[in-house]
Amino acid sequence: MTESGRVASTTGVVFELASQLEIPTTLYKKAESRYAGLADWFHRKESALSEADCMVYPQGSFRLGTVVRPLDPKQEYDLDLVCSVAVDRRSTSQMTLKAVVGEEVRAYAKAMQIRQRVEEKKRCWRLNYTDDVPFHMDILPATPDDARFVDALVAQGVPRPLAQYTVAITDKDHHDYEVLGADWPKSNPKGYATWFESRMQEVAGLRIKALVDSLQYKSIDEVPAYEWKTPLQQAIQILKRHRDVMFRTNRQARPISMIITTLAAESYRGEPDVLSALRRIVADMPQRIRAARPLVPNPVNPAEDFADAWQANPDLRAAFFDWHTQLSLDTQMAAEIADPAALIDFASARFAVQLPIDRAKASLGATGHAGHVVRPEVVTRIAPNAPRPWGGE
Amino acid sequence: MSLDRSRAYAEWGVTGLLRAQPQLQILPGSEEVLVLGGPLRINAEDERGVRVTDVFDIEIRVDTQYPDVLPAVYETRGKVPAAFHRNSDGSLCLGAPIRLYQELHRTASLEAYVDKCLVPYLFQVALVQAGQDPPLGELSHGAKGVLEFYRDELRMPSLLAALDCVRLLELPWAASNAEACPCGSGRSLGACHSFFLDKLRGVRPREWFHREHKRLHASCNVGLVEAAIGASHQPARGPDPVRSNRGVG
Repeated sequence: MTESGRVASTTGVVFELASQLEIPTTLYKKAESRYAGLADWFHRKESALSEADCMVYPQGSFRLGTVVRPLDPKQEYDLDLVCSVAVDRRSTSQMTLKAVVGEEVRAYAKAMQIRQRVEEKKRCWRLNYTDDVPFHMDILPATPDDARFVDALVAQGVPRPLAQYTVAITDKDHHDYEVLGADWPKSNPKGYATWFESRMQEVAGLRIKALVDSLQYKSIDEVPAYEWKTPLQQAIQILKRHRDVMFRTNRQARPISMIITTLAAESYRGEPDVLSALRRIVADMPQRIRAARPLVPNPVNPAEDFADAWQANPDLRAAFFDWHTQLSLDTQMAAEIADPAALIDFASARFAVQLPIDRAKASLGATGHAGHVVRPEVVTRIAPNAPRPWGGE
Repeated sequence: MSLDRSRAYAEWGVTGLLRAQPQLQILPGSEEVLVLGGPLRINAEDERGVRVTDVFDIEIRVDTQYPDVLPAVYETRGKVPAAFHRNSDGSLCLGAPIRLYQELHRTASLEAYVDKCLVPYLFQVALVQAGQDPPLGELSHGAKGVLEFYRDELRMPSLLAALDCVRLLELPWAASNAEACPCGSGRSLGACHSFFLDKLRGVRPREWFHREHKRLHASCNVGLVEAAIGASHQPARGPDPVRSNRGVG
């Protein structure tokens, strides 16, 4: 098969994959209404937070537009939210902020007649909110960080427009959890999302403009990232699904989305289609891991290492490498598949995606059949002196 | 670490195996173990022209110390009868360890290991299930089976003579050749069976044969030793290069 034929066939498959892994836009809208509802609750008159300068915004894959359909249709979607409250840290401890937000979340759960208990996690509150869509909302209490830390980030090379979004967060296991005026753990989800968007802004430009022109959004600033549907986002969805399938028997070991997303976004060079984006990312990803700690620094807070857990648990590092080895091989082998049935098997085994036969045929395209080389049958010769089975002790 | 892993995978020919067996894939493992699992398709034919085409669900656990540590192979769908050759942990007993090391000594490629060691095993399983005798033969369980391999490979008249050969394999080449040949010919090893021992010398380091000898020696039960002594009292046989490696078990 010719190189151009191979590219054509793989483009079809990758396109089909990307569209099957995508969640419907209505689900993003639903998520938006969920956190808008929570924000309204926090702002209501009786709320303990009504007087405070309080903001609720999404972080993670819902914010970045990289949500993948869960493998198990019954599995919940994780909707990660930040609840940023302006507090004076000289008079408010981490524990106090966590408690105040927690009270309001519980009151909200009660008002919404959510039966499941609000769970306290290390850094957030978890609200299981299931109606027609199973979501669990992880609500992260936070407070804008002070200018001193923003300056420190800028000094470390983080652009000020990203550094300015940095927040201080609470952590139940932090040594100063109950101490007034102490340093708090840091995070910067909004800065990260802004960085992520900047990696694909150019390629998204046309689509954003089209959405504004068709009056679906009033201005380009209003078009959320999930509407951008860039090759980077689609490639990340494919990577995440490949990981989900490979680690379905051992979810604990799987490479975390933050590492995949960060390395992918760093590797992406504005490729205009999913296939070339995927190829670039798969080829470049390992080189993006630094030789010394931080191995995978947060681009908006270089001191934070997304691969921190690899130190304590080297199996996680091995798991990332093994995943990448398989992924790299799969992207090569996908291009060599000639037969629609084999393609269907491949999509099912590696991505748990059922490719309809007509799509599989169409994916292989007009160039598909004529140019393919039929592989000769491989027969293994059994030597007469082959090892004889034995029984160990 | 990941660089080491990458280099190791290249040396072991991981992608070669996964390309040859595209349904096999890497499964979650650990820092110490690479796990490959999935359907393994076999299409094999022996010298008699008997062909077996079959699929087995297998899992291969490759230690990072590979090829110094043999891969552990499991069959995961119960297609290999539980009574067929297995280790105590349920892994498939593909052959006497030294025999498997012989293949790894030729090439450390996992693809070759599958072709030379695993496929023949599964080939036999398929034929046994079809009601035939295993065409390649089988070894006894435990130390006896290993000694059977040494006896046949080194053309020794008895298991006890084979055990003595393992002791000689832990000695340097010249020192062992100066000793009396275990076959009982009365000649020195160098002038007798040294040629056959050469097939195993270097397959493993001498310390390995030292441990192998200790292990085999310790697990030889009285019955085996007596049987072996009985056998060694029979008239000694010299090397007989035309005698075939035990054909049928």
